[in-house]
Amino acid sequence: MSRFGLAAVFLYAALPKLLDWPGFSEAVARYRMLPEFTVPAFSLALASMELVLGFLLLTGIYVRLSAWLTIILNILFIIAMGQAMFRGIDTSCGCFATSSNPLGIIDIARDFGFIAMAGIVLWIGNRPSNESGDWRKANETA
Amino acid sequence: MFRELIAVFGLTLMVALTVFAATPAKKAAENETSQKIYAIFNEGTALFLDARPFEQYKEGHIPGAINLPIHEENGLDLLFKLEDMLHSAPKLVVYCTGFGCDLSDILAKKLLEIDIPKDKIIVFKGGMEAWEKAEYPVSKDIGFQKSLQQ
Repeated sequence: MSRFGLAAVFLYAALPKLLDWPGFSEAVARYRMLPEFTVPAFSLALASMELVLGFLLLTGIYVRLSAWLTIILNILFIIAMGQAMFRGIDTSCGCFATSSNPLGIIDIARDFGFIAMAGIVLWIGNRPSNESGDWRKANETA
Repeated sequence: MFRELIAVFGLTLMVALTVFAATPAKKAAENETSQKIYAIFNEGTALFLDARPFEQYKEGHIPGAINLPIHEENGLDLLFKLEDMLHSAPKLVVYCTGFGCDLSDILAKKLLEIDIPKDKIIVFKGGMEAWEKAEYPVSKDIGFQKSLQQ
């Protein structure tokens, strides 16, 4: 369930960004974290990565890796939003197409929620499938 | 794991290149420099819309600008209240703090949603920072804004 939820979130976030990636690029630039000339390429790569992760999570391919990359991406988002809030940058999150509210603690809390969902995906992936409860054995066979 | 990582990055690169090749760069509205905006200001025909929060607006804004903080609770009410005025204005100049803010873009999109023609809307990306840097006139008059809120 967490896997599908996370996949839906990433696909929902990625598609509008890719359809208007110059607009998304402007949103990334507003965070003022990267040299200006790197922003368009970084924005396009970021939105593409979200789409690929959404697809992989949905189809169940490379789930563990996708979950780890999801966690890493969300940590990056939290750092970006945290520094923007700390520096008083007047911007919206830019996380989804419909987000028009100024950046807030809710956006950061939501990303922690996504990290928790990815954690659940990893935890379920590591859970032993046998009755013995032998985690090490389950991990070895996974 | 390393092979999987390469595959994921490869897929990402393929998506990125496909999107890059397929999507033309476009902007929601025209972006103008402060000199051009000042010329428009001097013509006296454009309606200036300040998308920043009221607290910032009252500290100083472009003279004659109406505060329309669309992201705030009463923003939409104000937008609908001003709808006739917005439709009748020959040009609308939208601005916020400066290049670091996107409230003007958000407001421009809302204006498009209420069927204001795209060629009427000008987003002044430099915003108040560029305006003040150029030492153009700034007003602290909030009389009209107060009357709107009543």
